[in-house]
Amino acid sequence: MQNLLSEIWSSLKQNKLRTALTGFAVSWGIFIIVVLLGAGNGLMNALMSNAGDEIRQIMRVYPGSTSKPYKGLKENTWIRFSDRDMTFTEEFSDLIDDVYGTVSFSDTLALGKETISSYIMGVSPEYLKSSNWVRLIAGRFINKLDMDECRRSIVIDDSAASQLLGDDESYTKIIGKDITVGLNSFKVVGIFEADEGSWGHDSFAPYSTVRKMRVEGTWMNHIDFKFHGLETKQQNDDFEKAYKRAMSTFHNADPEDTRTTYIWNMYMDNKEMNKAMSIIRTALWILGILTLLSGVVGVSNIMLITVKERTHEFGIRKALGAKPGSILKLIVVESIVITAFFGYLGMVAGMAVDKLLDNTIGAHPMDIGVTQLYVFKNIGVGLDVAVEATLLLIVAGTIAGIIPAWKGARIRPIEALREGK
Amino acid sequence: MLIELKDVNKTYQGAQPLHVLKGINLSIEKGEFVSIMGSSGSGKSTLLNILGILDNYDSGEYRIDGKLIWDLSETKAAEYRNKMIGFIFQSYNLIGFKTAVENVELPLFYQGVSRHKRHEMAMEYLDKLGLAQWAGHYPNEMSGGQKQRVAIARALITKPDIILADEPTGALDSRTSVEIMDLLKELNEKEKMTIIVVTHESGVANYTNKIIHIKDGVIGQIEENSRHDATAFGSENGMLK
Ligand SMILES: Nc1ncnc2c1ncn2[C@@H]1O[C@H](COP(=O)(O)OP(=O)(O)OP(=O)(O)O)[C@@H](O)[C@H]1O
Ligand SMILES: [Mg+2]
Repeated sequence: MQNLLSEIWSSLKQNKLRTALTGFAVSWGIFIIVVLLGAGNGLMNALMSNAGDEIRQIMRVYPGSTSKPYKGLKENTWIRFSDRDMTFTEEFSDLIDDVYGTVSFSDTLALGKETISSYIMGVSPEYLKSSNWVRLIAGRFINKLDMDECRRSIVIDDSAASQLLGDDESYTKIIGKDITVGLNSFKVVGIFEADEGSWGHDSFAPYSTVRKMRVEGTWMNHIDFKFHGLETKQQNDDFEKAYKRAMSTFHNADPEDTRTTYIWNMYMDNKEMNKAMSIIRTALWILGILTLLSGVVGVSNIMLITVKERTHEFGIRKALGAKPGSILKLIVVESIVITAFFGYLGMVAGMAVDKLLDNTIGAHPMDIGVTQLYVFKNIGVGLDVAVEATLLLIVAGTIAGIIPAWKGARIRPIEALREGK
Repeated sequence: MLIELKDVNKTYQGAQPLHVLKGINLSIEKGEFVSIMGSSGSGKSTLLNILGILDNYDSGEYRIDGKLIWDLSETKAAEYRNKMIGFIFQSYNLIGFKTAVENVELPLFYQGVSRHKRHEMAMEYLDKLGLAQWAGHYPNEMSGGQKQRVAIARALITKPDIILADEPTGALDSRTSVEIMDLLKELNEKEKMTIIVVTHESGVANYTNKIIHIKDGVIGQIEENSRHDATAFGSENGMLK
């Protein structure tokens, strides 16, 4: 191998400028791939901050209203969820594993003289996993003990924390402190990052605690349940239909009325989102590969010219005992070396540009009037793409070299020696 | 018998097929120093290329050391050339971007000899030909005579059975030609090398022990020349040419 490389090096030295010009096409191709995929990743990261997580098999059910009168129930009657809606799902117990409710109310949070108003949701520990927008940055979320013992624990957002503490203090200091929620005292156990786009403050408390505090006519916001065994779109659709039917019947509405409940099937959504993303990724790869292909054609062309120019030399080599296979190897490896070297330069440059983009457009949310929005987040490619791109380069180099190499290997020594005399 | 040709024919196909070799019969023994002489276009180079397995023939038989050379794959032919034959060309055929020593190493590279060993042997051969101090020079930094001596070192390094030289002095002045021919003669005498030289100069042919005349594609007279008094040498100017 070392012999081969030094052979290649001495021939590359011969044609520095030409080699560099050809190599540039390859660098450019790989550069485009890395920048496109990096930006594409940034876009997808911004769309779904938890991209790549396991797909949670969770559905969320919201109450709706009747769309037609039925047995004394008027049209447009609001459906309300209560605890009984959580237990009635036993009918589906072979598919549904756990059911969680969410109740909410608005009240003021106070610490010393500082007060803010907040929307407080009573949730189960699982809520964190099913809500992408809640990113815990300090402390913990509501846990099972909070639920079981109806503890007065609360998780608040970072801006609420710093407002309650007064701006000059680090907001994490609020963890462990007691704050007043309405008339009750709650202990702050965690802080999450406030959503850029949201107005006001959100807080989380244990479902059981909130449920107990507000016995009189508390209706649930929504019901979440974990399920299993629904894989295909068909299975999911069938289940959703059956569930709605059961819900309508349970609330004395027309069993065929589909507007009594709304189902957000996170599992199918995620699945479809992942599918869409993989299509985008594939499209970006194809775009990049096509660009690289023009580089490959360039390398191939140059190699053909090189082979033509070196015909006499190959004739000498063959006269001295070079087998067709060794000429073939010489040219293919030369092609791979050119492609890989310049491709690597392109990859490094592409990654540098990704980094630059990430520090500029990736670091600042875009102002769209009412709210701010991240269009790109974490622009860049991972090690996997780098490895894939490297493999791609080797394949590309081989493809670029194979035709010229075959031509070189086939040269008859007698004709080659005559040439260029 | 090292080299044996029986009724070898060669026709160049083309718009006008040209029957160049018309039944060549020839035997050369190990250790012989022979020249093939003939006028331009008589088929000398064609014959030498067949001998060197660089080209194939249409009919007849060609054997080296009893092995029939016929219908060989390129790979097999390359292997035979590498092991059995050393070439010396009129235009040297050194690789321009390689130094003298790298050029000499090349046949060993194709034998898979290690880098270190290759270099050592190449230096030894260059030294033998008085070119040790030129080892690191590129061909375009050397004189014709020096280049031809590098080529000779390259031909010798695999210790081949046969040295084939096509007009080895064709591009050299007469003094250098004498040097090269003296060198070949010495190789034949001291190392018992079998050497076949193609030439159209009688002065060159006169160095060899046997002169094979070729005319119109057939072998004509075969002259024994052990006394080196063949025609046209030294008669008037005392030099080659
Ligand atoms: N590849 C080829 N295709 C067609 N004709 C060829 C080819 N090579 C040689 N010839 C012809 O065959 C004949 C013999 O050529 P060859 O090179 O063997 O002659 P030569 O004896 O070596 O001549 P010279 O002394 O000029 O080198 C010539 O007429 C030449 O034109
Ligand atoms: Mg000739």
